[in-house]
Amino acid sequence: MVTFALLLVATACTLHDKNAATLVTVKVQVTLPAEYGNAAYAGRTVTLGNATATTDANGVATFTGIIPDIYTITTSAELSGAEYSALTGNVVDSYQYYTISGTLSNQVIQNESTITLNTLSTKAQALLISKLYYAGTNDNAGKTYQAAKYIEIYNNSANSVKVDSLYIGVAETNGAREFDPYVDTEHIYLKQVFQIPAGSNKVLAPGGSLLLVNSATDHTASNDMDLTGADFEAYSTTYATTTEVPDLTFVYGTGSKPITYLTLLPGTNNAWVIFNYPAGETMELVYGPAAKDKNATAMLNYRYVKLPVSYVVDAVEALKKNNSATYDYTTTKRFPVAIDGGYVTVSATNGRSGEVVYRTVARTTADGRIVLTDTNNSANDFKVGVNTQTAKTKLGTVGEDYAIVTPRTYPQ
Amino acid sequence: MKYPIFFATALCATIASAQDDNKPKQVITYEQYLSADAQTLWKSSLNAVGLTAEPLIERGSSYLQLSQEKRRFGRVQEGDRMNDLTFHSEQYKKVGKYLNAYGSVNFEMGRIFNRSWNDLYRSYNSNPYISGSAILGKYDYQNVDFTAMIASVPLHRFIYGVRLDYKVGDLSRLKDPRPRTRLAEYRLMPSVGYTAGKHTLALGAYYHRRKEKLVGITTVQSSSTFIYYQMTGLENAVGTVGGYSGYGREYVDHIFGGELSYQYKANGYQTLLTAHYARGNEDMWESEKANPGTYTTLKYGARWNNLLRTTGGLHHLNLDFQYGEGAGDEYRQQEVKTTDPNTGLTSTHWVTILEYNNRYTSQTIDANVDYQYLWNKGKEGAQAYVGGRAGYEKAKNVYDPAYSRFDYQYLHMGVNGGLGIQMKGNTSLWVEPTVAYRKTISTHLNLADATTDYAVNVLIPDMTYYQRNYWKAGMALTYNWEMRIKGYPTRWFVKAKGDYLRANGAGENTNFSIAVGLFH
Repeated sequence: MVTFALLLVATACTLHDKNAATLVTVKVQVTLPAEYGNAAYAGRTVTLGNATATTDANGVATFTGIIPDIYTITTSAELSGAEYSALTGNVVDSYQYYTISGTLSNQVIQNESTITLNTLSTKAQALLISKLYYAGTNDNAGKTYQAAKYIEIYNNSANSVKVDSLYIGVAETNGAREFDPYVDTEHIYLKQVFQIPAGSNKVLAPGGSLLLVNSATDHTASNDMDLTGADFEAYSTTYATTTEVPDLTFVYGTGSKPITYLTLLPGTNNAWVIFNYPAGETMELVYGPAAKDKNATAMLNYRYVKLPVSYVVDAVEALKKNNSATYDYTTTKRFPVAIDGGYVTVSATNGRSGEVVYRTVARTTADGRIVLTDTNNSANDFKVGVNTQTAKTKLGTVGEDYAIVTPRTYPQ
Repeated sequence: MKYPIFFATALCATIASAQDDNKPKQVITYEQYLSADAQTLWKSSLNAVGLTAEPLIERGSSYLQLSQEKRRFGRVQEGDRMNDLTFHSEQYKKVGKYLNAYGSVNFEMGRIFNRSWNDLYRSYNSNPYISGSAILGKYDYQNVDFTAMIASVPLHRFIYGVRLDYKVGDLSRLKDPRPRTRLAEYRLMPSVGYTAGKHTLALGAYYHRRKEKLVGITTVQSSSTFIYYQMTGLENAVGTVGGYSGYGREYVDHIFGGELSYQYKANGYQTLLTAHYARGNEDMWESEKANPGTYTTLKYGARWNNLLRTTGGLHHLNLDFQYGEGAGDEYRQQEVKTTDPNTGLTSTHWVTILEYNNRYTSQTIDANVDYQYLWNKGKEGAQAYVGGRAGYEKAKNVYDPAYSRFDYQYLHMGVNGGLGIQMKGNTSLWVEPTVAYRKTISTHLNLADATTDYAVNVLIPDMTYYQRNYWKAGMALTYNWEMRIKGYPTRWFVKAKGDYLRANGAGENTNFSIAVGLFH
């Protein structure tokens, strides 16, 4: 009785009666695609949250002292042609590079566990999306300025590449996504498609770039970029355009009166692709579930180009920033992991920050050609910079050292 | 403009209410008020039974006070200057034959300058789930506090009482991003006492509900780069550019507590021993009922108040001990969206997938002893007083895992006194000096990550405040006089008070206030 009373008093006199979280050890087993046979992913870096570990001879990375939480686990490695040949037995050109990458997002780690991280292997692409500028900025009067948006495409290979007839598209951006990329892993659904005009005979030299804009004018007076050197411009009556720069071919847009400028919008997702399409084939148009019970005109807002992922040359998934630290971005991804294993966000939830999403430099070749990072995962391949020093000064307090990023420049 | 008019009206109403049909020949003086307060041991208790357990001395006072404080030695979340306007009124009164009552109202409004990193009311040793921005700004506040107590006379030795405390508040930031925090809390405490000769035993239990709500953060500038931070304990804070957009959070705290008091009175000696205990549970709610965690509090302690009446005066000896704990459970939640296939409507709810028990803990200890001798001249009241006090204060905050710890220990000591100089025409001037000293025994700040924005801008700079010893000296001058208004006697006072604090090599603070009021 006395013991019970004392226990009751002790319990009532303190709050420290619940078990606190304990640190755990996590092992990550990285598995290679089938073409690598029984080869192990040895001596490579795996990242779990802010921690890194190196895989052992069996491809296992061990992390100790991990706080139970929700983590993103990633790995990526670039294999030279020789390394690829040694692991797979396939003979490839010596200059060819391959990337192995794998991502597990929102992995809940509560206890000691072994997690399997599957990887994909992709041949390094010649053409890449190297920059996306969709955040916009504020002009010197403090008003929102959205005219200087752009997409930059880069030739990452050692060979010249012809780009006419190349398609550029953006995935649907409804509040709740229409199609789940974890269910339909073979297609993506585009709300807008443009094309480099067929017959333009546009060729990109190794390390060359293609600048696609909405307004090929000088925007520096509005605290933004000079885009007079753009290669192609999306014609519209919304932004000031010029006849000196040829127009992109507008192929498709949702709605009865489609938007004809590049819909690079700050307050929504910006999942862009570049792709080829077999000549003579018609693009398949499908309706999304949101078209249900809509009238004929309204249904057009939910009609999309259904594109097989096998046609995709490159993709980058820039998602709308969410304020919550625990927000699950996989619920809003549009692209299957086969074409983009991750995502990138700018720091401003509604843009106007001058932030530019840019692909980082992997290395520079002996002849000075820049090779950009391509692990098929935007989380690894892209960083966020800013368009001007003004934007850099404003964002400096976030703690990151933002690079100033302009078209056709390649910060590290 | 409307507030001075409100205060003037309140003051006039107080003057009017001070007059009743009985037309007292004399109103209580400042000397008598000091004496009466010194003899009210139950003032430190929440228990309404105290209105009857000791003789009720009818009295009341009201005043309007203007003050300004300048702070060079302080903490980041306190600001460096404060202007305040306060109206306060209280009244002890017998109501009829069977009831004793007490009521008070306190209305304060003011402005805090150069405050940052917290847009809520509580900053220290409390709920760690606060939010704010790094930009210095002005904050306007308005708080209204009401207290009402009523107790019966002994009915077959039982005394029945009830107390109600009610507070509403508003805290608005005047610089982008501009949040607005509203506070509403009440406490209802019924109590019962049993008196038998020299002994009185009283028990009271209360329910206290506190709700604080931060909603509707706006900006009037077009910049989109404001970073808004959400804190989870010590250096841990998540900052998001534009994170204020759509942000809102509600804090709801349910506290249950009680007090047990024992009083003994005999031969000029009165002692009151009170034990108190309270336990609270606070939830935080965001949009769609997202919940970052909970915060549980536990407070208990004891007070021992002693009063010895001698021929020439009153001896007061008080001891007070309080212990407090807080524990924050942190949640990891995921948003689940469900679309109804028939209606197409999407509903959202949050599911907790990880829970960190007691991730943030807070512990406070406060122990004080004070003594005062008041020279008392019968019905004329206090003539002078002298006193001293000493105390020990300790606080400790821990965040684990990712172990971080912050703690400090202080010793306080001080002396104070008062001398009433009687002057012609039934007036007097009181001179009340105080001197205090704080000595820091120890401070520790061990952070798992000392590079976070919150660590660099708040915790580390605040260590100067915690580490330095300081001296504080003050002086209050109160002039009180009688004035007849249409034949009715009224007793007025003007009080000017100034404080000066000097920290060891770390700056100084000044505080000046002036109050005008009357007794009733």
